[in-house]
Amino acid sequence: MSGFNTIGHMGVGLSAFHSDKPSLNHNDMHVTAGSFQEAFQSALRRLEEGEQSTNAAVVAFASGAPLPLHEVLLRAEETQLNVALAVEVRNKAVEAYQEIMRMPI
Amino acid sequence: MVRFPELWVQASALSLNRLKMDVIAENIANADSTRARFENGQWQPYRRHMVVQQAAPLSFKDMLSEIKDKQERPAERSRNTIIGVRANAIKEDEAPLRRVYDPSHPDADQDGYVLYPNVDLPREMIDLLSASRAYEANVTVLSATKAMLQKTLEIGRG
Repeated sequence: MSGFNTIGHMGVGLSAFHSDKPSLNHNDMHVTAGSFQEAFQSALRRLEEGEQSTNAAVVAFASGAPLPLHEVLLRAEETQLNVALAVEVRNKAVEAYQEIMRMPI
Repeated sequence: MVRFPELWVQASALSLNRLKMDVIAENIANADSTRARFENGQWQPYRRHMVVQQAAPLSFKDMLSEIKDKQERPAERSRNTIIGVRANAIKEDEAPLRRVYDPSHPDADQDGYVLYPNVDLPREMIDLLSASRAYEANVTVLSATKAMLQKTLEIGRG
């Protein structure tokens, strides 16, 4: 687990950078978790929430709610970017783990 | 979920341009409407509508943080707020109405003149063109922003 800590710090640093910027939503990036695992888990939860709200918007639009089309598409775009970001972070974590496992004992 | 406020600045511009197009459509549809409002026992013709746009922070939270920054450093533009655009009001054009001689018209006055809306079709067409071009410009900025963000994610690769 100690191998993950450097990435954990990187993750916290990145989130701190994002929370420095203004955000449109009420659920800001609050990173209080110490370990990478907790940070990643809470990030995944927020990602899922975002995905669900996008899904709800798409369903609402399809069933005739007066939502502007560009807003629905932008939400989808935002969620897509977030998924890509999550995948990148996950790849980095797995890479670091494999690097540690390759260490000669 | 990480939010991307730069995308929503463009979203506000897209919404505004859609509203502009709606208002132009309304103007063109009512170009000959002699009855819009019933005032003092008389029908008033439709008047051309215009959208007044305003630069505004995207959310209430942004608005508050802008006020706070203004108090701390009045000279600088607030660094933490992102300014979008929004419609402030839809106003009526006070330009004179068109007077057309048509005694058989039900809304003609004693002298046989009918008041028609002050909608100028060529002007509406130009407004429509600029609104749709502005929409396109904002979509272009949006795709550039998106491409940039996707490029940023490639930092992690390789």
